[in-house]
Amino acid sequence: MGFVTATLAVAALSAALAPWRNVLDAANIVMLYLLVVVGIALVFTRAAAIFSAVLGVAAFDFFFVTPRFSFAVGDAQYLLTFAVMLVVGLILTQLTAGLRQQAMRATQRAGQVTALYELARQLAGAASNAQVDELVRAFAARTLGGRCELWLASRGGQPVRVEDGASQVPLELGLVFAHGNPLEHDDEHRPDHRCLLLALEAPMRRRGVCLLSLPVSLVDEETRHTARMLASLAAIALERLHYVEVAHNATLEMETEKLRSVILSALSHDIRTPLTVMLGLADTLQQTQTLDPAQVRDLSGAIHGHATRLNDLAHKLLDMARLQSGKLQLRSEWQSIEEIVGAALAAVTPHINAAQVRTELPATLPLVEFDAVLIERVLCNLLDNAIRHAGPHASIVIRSTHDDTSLSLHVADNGPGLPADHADWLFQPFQRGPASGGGGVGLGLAICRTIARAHGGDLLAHNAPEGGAVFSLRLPRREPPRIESEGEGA
Amino acid sequence: MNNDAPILIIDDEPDIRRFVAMSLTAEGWRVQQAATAAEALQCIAQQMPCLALVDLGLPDRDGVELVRELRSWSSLPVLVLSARSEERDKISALDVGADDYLVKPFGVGELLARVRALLRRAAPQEESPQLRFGEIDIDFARRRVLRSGDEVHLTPIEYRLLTAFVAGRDRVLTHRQLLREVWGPSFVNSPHYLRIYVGHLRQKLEADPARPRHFVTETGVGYRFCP
Repeated sequence: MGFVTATLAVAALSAALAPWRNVLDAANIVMLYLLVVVGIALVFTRAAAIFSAVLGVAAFDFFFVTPRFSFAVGDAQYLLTFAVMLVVGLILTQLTAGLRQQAMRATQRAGQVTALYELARQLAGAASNAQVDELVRAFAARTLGGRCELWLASRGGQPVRVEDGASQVPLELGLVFAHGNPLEHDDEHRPDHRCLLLALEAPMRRRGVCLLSLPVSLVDEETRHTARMLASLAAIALERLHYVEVAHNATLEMETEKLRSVILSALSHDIRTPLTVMLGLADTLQQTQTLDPAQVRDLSGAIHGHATRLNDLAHKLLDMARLQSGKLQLRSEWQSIEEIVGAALAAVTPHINAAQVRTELPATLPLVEFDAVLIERVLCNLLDNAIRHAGPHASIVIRSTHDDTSLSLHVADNGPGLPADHADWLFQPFQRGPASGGGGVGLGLAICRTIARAHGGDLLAHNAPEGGAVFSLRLPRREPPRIESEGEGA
Repeated sequence: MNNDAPILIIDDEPDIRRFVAMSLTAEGWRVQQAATAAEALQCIAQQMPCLALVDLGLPDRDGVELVRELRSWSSLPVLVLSARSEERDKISALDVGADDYLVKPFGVGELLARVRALLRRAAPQEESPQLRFGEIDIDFARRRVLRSGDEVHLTPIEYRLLTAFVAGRDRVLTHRQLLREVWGPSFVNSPHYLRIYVGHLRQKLEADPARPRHFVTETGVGYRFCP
């Protein structure tokens, strides 16, 4: 493009000057050719400008130096003119191109500074190492025209790639991580690319290494400077995240510690009491000679009762441990609500007189996906609670409501209802209501809510306007799979 | 059934074997004990028991594997004893042919009831073409179901499900077993069919479908039909 324009410009100038060749002084004609060179150098590449300088000299010789229309030179002085003209043209080319490059650099630098500023702003809002990594990679691609990887010190001390957790540390990267001095080498995976390795130096500690892979043509002092800025911005963001996590863990640990001491004191009471009773009763039973059969029956019945309570406690603790370890795997299947309510009622029947519970479930309830064993446990717990708090003559109603996205089961009793401040403690582990009378271990509702939430639902409690407590188990639902209808008759 | 055949208790915990043995002996059954799967196979080789109680947590072998092997060459009734953490194993054991299960800890009353039910089922009984439970009369020869004398209309699948339940009466039938038997092997992972049709049977045959007495839910495992 530049060469074509240079040729055209020189040709046009030659044609324009042709009629004036007797009027114009040779020196002025030379000046005009040089002006073309400056113009080309300003707009096009250096090579095009040099080409236009040489072409200008040739055209001047051909059209304006006698004998005209030949490259022969009549007056040897013109040789000096040609030489000076060429040298001046080349110098002009050089100067103009340099100027142009500087202007371009300045624009580019301004762009990079803006981009760095924008990056710093985004990094300040980053909430995770992965997010920092993502921002830095986007910056490298957009502003530096290359690729970037962040490697962060892991717990084991060795750097690990943030993007995919790769831990095969390249030799050079290891060196930079160990000593902190930047390194540069050719990228063995991509031709014509250079790797820039920069330590992520944060105020407190070296956080890792930033690896940039850029096209060789783009690597200059300017880029190196931007890369250093990039590394230090990333390092500061990473350090900030590190301390946020440290602070969060400290709070969590304090809460866990508090919970643990509550659990321990509750457990030591709840386990020791039945154990003490059982030991005592067993010892008493050994002295059978002083006991009559009715007493023996009585004592062994009591042992049975306390063993059952301990077993119940063990179940709940195991449930809690399993739910809290985060390894709970739901065995969700399409289930019938009516069936699971029936199963829960059957399971609590030894403690509850069947006549006390009324179910108001339409026969057309949709199937819902859940883990039947866990949800049955929730319902049993809610029924047990209702009986315990509403007294032996309580009446309990189980209702359901549903819409397109969820189905709720409501267990309502006619007892005294929940205390006013119930929202604060009701679902916390090892909390017992004022009226629980020592039954239960205060784990039930905590477990129930955990189970409901593991399903993507929730467990809520409120007092009914007509009195009594209502517990609502909400489960998410979607359209159940179709059932192929069977041909009637046959 | 040979009345002298013992009940074999396979469990590695001596005190569990002891109280189970005591309660079974008190009811007049003969009892043999084994602490490991190897010992159990030896006992069986010497004398065929009438029932095996198999703990799933045996020290030398997977209890499910033992049940599978037993089932491969005998129809010996098997009652599985499992801790709650072994829930999946329990279902696997039932799927490979165990007849029933008891979750530890269990009471003696529960144990005796299950043992009686299994032995009753194992005893040869004349194939009766009729069955009566609650208000329901089933006449298998004429494929008719009556409720308090009135005919109940069952669809072909409902009837097939009912006969599957009757054939496995007093036993736990896992979801997989029922789906395979009634709908076919390609349906074993479509439990929603079972939920819907068991619901239909309860609506048609139970006095209170919300609290079934005959088609009992074994949550997470399957169903049990108690005539």
